[in-house]
Amino acid sequence: MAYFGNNQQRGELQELYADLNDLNFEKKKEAIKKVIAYMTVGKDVSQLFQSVIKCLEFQDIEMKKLIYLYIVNYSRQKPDDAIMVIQNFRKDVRKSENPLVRALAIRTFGCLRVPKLNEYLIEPLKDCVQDDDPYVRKTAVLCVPKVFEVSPELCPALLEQLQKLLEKESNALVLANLIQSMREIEVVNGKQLIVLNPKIIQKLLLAIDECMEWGQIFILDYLATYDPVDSKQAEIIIERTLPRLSHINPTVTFCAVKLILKYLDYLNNGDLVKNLCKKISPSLISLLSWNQPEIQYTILRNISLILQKFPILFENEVKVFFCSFNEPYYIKYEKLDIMVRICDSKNFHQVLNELMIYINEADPHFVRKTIKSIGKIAVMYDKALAEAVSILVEFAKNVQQTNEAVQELFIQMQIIYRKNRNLYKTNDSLKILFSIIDYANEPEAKSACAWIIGEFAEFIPKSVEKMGEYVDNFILEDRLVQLQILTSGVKLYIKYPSLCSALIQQLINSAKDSFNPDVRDRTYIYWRLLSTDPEIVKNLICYVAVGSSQFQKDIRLWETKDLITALENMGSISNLFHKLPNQLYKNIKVRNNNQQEVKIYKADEKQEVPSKEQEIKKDDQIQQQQQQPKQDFDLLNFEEPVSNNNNNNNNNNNNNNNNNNNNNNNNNNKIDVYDLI
Amino acid sequence: MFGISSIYILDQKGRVLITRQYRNELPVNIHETFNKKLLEFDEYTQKPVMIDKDGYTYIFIRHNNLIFMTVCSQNANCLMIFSFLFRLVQVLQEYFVNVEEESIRDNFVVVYELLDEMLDNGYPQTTEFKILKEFIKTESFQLKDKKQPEQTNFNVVALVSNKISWRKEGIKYKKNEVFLDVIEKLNMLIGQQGNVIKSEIIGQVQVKCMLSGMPELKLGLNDKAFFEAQGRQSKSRAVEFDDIKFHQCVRLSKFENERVIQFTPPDGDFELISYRLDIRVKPLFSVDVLIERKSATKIEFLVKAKSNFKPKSTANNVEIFVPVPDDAEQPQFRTAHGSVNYMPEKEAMCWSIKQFGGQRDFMMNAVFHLPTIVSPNRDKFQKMPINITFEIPYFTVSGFQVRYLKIQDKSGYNALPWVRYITQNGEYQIRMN
Repeated sequence: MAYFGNNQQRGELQELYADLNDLNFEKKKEAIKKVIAYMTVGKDVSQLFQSVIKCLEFQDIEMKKLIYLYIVNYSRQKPDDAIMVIQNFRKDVRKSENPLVRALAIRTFGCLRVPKLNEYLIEPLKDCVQDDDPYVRKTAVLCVPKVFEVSPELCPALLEQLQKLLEKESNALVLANLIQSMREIEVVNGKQLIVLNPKIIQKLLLAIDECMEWGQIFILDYLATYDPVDSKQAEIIIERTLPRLSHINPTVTFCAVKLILKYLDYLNNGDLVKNLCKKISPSLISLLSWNQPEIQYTILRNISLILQKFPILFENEVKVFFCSFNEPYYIKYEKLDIMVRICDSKNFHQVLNELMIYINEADPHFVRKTIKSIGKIAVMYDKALAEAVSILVEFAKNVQQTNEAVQELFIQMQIIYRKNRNLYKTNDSLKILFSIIDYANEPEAKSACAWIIGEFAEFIPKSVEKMGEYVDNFILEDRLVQLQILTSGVKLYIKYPSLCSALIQQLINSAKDSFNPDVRDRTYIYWRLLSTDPEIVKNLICYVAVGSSQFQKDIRLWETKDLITALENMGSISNLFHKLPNQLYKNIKVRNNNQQEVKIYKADEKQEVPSKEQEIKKDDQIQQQQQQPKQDFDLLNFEEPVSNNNNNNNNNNNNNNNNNNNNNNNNNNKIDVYDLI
Repeated sequence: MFGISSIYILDQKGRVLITRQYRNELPVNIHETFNKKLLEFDEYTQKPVMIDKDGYTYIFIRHNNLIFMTVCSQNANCLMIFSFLFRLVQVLQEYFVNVEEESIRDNFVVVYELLDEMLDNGYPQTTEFKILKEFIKTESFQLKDKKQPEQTNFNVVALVSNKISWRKEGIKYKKNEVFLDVIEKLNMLIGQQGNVIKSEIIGQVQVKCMLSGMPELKLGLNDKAFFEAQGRQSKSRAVEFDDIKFHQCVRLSKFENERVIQFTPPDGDFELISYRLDIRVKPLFSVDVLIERKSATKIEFLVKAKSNFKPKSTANNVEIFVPVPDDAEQPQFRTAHGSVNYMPEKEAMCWSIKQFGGQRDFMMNAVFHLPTIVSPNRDKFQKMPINITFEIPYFTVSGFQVRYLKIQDKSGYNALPWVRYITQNGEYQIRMN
C-alpha cells in the first residue's frame, strides 16, 4: 500500500513538507492523505502542523475534512498552534456559502476541547444554533454539550438559546438532536433544562414520525423518562408510539416498548392495558429472534428485568427461550437463566422437558449450567421437585467418568436435600449418588458429598468407611471440604459412637493443628462440646430443619425502588450488567422515587397485586434475614444468588461463633456457596 | 443516555486500523486494555460487552477478520450502539463490498469521512447509504471522473433534513420496473420422535426499485388483519403475522391505523419488510437415521430422508448433514440419489441432492470403519442434531402472497412490478436419538 510505506521517516517527513508547500493542488491533497495515513498508524506527524493548516485556504471539502481530522488529533498536543486555526474556523463558520462547510467547521471546533479556545467558539456557535439551514443547526446543537463539558462557565446564554429553540424549532432532526444534547447537559449539570408543555410534546410526537431512525430513538427514550399528567395524555402518547413497534431498527422498537411499558402504570383502562400487552409481546419476541446474537443478548438481559414487573408479556411463551444448538454460549446461559425465572406451576413441565434434552448434550460446561438450572427449579417450585429430581437421578445413572457437570450434580443434589430432607425416602437417589461419589473432585462438590454422608449416614451402607477415606486425606483437602468433613465426622460419631470413636480421634488430631484458623476453631469447639456433653452436640448438629419454607422462593428479585430505576434505564449499559447506573458511574444521580410498590402485571389475576417482595416479607423468618445487613450488590447480581438465605436453615440452632466464621469465609468464594453446616 | 466515546476498527490481532474519538479523552492505549481484557475470557465466558476496572465499557462485534469496537465512558444505550455497529458494517459493505482488513486500509479516507458523518458527539446521525453516497464522493478504488459540482452538496444537505431523506429527486429510468423477492426462512427444531418442538418463519421482502421520479407505492398482501380491518372475509388463505417490521420509508402510522402499506421507495436495493410467523408448520423434510454397530470397528448408518411438501414443488440444493463419530474413517456410501461426502472437520457426512421433489423419499447407506483405540468423544455425535439446508423456489411456507403493487407517479408512467418467492432453511435441525 502506497500510503503505508515503511521507509525512513525522517526523509519522508521532509518530502511531505515539500509536497504540502507545493503549488500544485493535487500534490498538496495527496500529501495530506499521506499525513493522515501516518497519523492512523500512529506515527508522529505533528511537526507538519503549520504546513497542514495553510492548506485550509482551499475550499475543497474533502481536503478540509482531512485537515480538520488532523487538527482534532493534534490540537491537544499543540494548543498554542491550534489558536492559529481559530481564524480559519471563524471564517468557515461565518462566511462560507456552503452549509456543509459551516457544519463541518462547527463540528470540528467542538471536538477540540481546549478550554482556552472555547471563548472564541461561543459566538460562532451561537450563530450556528440560529442558522437558517437545519443541517447546520442539528450539528451546532450537538456541539453545545461538547463545549459545556469543558467550559460550563461560558454556556448560560447558550443554554437559554437551546431552550428557546425547543419552543420554536420545527425540523424533526434538529429537534431530536436538541433533546439529546439537552438531556446530556441535564445529567452533567444536575439541573432540569427541558421544560415540556403540551405543545412541545405534540411537536415531539410529530417529529417521531418524520425524523430518521436514530432521532426517533432519542425522542422515544426521552419521553420514556417523562411522567404523563394523566391517563388521557398517557393514552395519546402511547397511541402515537405504537406504529414504532413495526420499525426495522431494533432499538427503535425497543425504545417504543420501553415507553409503553412505563406509561401502562398511568392508564386507568384495564382492557386497554391488556390489549397493549398483547401488542408488545410479539415485538419483544421478534427482537429475541433477531439474527444478530449481540442484539439478542442485550434484549435478553433486559427481559429478565421486564419479567419481574410484567410476567404477563411472556405468558405461554417459554419456548422462545429454548436454546438452539449453534447459539453462542452467552445467549444459551442467558436463556437458561430466564427459563428458571419464567418457570411456574403451569409450564414447569415444558421447561423441564427441554432441560432434560440439554442435560444429554455433549458439552460438559453447558450441561453443568443446565443441572444448576434444574436444581434451582427444584428448590423454587415444590410442584416441580419430583420431576426435576428424577431428571437428575437419571443423569446420575449414566455417569461414567468425572467432569464438571458431575460436580454440579452433587452440589445441586445437596441443596435439594437440604430443602427436602425426606426426599431420600421416595426414590433411590441416595444410593445412586453414593455409587458415583468418587467422581467428586471439586472442593464444593466434595464438601457436598461429605454433607450428604453425614446427614444420611443411616441410609448409606458404607458411610463410615467412606468418611474414613475422607478423614485419611483430610490434610490434602481444601478448606471448604475440611470444614464439612469436620461437621459430618461429628455427625457420624453421634450416630455411631462406638464405630466412629477412632475416626473422630483421628479427625480431631489432624484438624487441631491446621494452619487455617477457621478449621482450627471449629475443631476446638466440637472437641470441647463433645467432651462436655455429647447430648448438646446431638441437638445442635443433627438438628433437622422444620418447615422448609425458610428457603426464600424467589431469590433473585430486584428491590422495588431499584426495579423502577432499572426499568427507566432499559437498554443501557448499566442494565446489561444488572447494576444501577449510580453503581457504575459516580457522576450520575439517580432520581429519587418514593414509590413503595410496583404494580405487577399478570395474566389472569387481577391487575394489581402487591409486589412479590412484600409477599415474602410476610414471612417472619425472612423478615429477620432481611434485617441482617445485606448489600444491594448481592441482590442485583443475578448470577450469584444470595447465599445468606440458606444459611439460616440449619444455622438457626447452631453455634454462633461457627456461624459467623462461615459467613466470612464464604463471602470470599466466587461461586454461589451454600453454607455447609 | 450518552453517546459513544470512541470507535475502533481493529484487525484480528487487535492492532488499530482506524480510530475516531468523539468525546472526552480516553487513555491513549485503551485498545490495548481491550485486547488484554479479551484474553481473560474463553468461548464459554466471552460476552460481546465488557467493562474494565476504570468503568470503561467495550462493546464490540466481529466481522470477517475485523473487530469493530466502541468504548463508552458513560451509561450509553447499548442496544443503540450494537444496532449502529451493524449498520456501519452494512454501509461499509455498500462501499467496498468486502469489508476486511485490506479494504479498510485501502479506503481509510472514506472510512474517516463516514465515521465523521455517521456519528456526531457519539450519537448516530445519518446512516442511510444512499444519502451518505451523496455526501462522500471519495472513491479510492474505482477511479471515476470526480467532477462533482459544489451545487450537489446543497441538495444533499436539504436531503438530510427532509421528510423523505432516503430518495433524491430527478431519478430517471427508461424502463420502470420493481422487483420483489419474498424470501422465507424456516427455523425448525424437530425432536427425536419427529415432533416439532419449535417452528418459526422469518420472512423478508427484498426490493430492487428502478423507478423514475418520486413514485408513491401501495403494496397489498394477503394479510389477515387487513381483511379484518376491511370487514371482508378472506377468500383464500390469509396470513396472520406475529410481527411485521418495515423499512423507514413505509408510513408506519398509516399501517397502524389502516393496515395499508404505503411508501415512497429508496432507489435501488433495500429490504422493505421483515416479518415473523410463529406457527406450527409440518416439517418440510424429515430424516430418520438408523445406526447399527456391526462390530467394535464398524458402524453403519441407514439414512432415510422424506419431503413433505406438495409434489408440484421441488427443493434445490438439499444438503443433509448427519453427525458421525469423530474418529470415523474409511467411509463407504451407497445411494441412488445425489452424492455423499465425508466432512471430518464437521464430524459429519453431507448428503447432497440437487433436486428433491415433493412427497418423495430417498435412502442412503453409509459404513464407517472405527479405529480400535476409542476416541473419548466417540458417542458425542449422537447428541448432535442433523442439519438440513435447502431452497424451494416459487413457494412460501406461510402462504404469504403479494396481491398487488400499485405504482403512482405524477408523470403517470406505467411501471411493471415483478415478484418472486423462495423458501429457504433457517436453523433447520432434527435431534438424533
